[in-house]
Amino acid sequence: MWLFIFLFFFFNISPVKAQNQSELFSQYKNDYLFQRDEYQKNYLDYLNKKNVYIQYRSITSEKDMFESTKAVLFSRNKMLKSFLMALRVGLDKYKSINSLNTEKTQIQLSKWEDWLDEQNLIIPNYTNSTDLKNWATIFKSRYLEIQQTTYQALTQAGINLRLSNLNEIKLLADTIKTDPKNNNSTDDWFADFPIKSDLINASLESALTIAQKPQKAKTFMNFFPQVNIETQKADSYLKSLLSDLKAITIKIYN
Amino acid sequence: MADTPYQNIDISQNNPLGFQEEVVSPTPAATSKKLNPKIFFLIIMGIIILLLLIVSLIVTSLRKKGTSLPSQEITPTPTEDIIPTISKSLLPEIYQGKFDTIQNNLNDNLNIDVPTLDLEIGL
Repeated sequence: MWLFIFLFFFFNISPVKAQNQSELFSQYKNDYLFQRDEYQKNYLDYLNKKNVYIQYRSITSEKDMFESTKAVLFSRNKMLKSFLMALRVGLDKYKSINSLNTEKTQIQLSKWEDWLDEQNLIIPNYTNSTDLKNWATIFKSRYLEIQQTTYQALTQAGINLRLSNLNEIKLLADTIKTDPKNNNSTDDWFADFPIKSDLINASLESALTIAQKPQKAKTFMNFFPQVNIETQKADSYLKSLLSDLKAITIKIYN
Repeated sequence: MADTPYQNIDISQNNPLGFQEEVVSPTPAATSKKLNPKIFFLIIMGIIILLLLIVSLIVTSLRKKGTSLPSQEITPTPTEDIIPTISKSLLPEIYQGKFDTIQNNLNDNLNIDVPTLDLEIGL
């Protein structure tokens, strides 16, 4: 009886966990979309106040602009934090396939989430535009690092997904290989499997190398399009593998 | 004495005999003849046609000899690998679910847009 209960929970943990991860990501993503809307509202208000100040140059309009600047910067940090959180949670889905690298990326994301939280404790205390300007300058330089971490996380998510798919295909191929109906006519294909598998791994390694390259310029050089080329190559091999495996399975059973 | 018709030798035009003397114009005798534009155009067209004829003759002779001109190769446009679609019904039931799961997971990318920020706020 106890063994039955143990086995029941043991085999039920994984699907429930997977479902929760998807739901959790969805919740964080919705929160990010909400914060993005808030930021856009505040941004429009800031632009209006800025235009009024440029037109009249009065003390009141300057004060209004200063307050709206603080509000928009505050909401921008909140939006950015919610985005990083969604990204971090999204990485959990296929984390098990590459836990070490994924964990590193998630730690980086957490670090920036904390930093943004700290900044939102500072911003409301500013009482003059000079301090706010200094803060905005510091943020601009730090944002380069945030962007790099963001795209590294997206790269990691893409790599994890493809590695997981490759692993699933490999497991299925092994099952089909040992199927009693399988005669030895498909041995050649199974022997070639590691070659295509290596090609996929090489593309994903290349994507990771591109993403890890340090940024030297003062402006962010977006490496993600290059990463996408590599992941698309891997996709092409994966699709080909799956299609071949389907054909082999049909051949064995007909 | 027979009447002789009077002829005014000073005014040649006023000749009662009916014949006119050639009037010698004071302009110089030798003038350069300008080509009619229509004729000029016809000459140019003729030259072009002749040139085209010569070129076509050269090309024909080269082809006959077997030395074909470098042909313009059509560069293939990069396309995705065409992967044959296999009917689901042909797959054995025991593997169908697994294949479906993997197929769905292939496009399970992290669907989230990177925010765009105005970094000039406050500057």
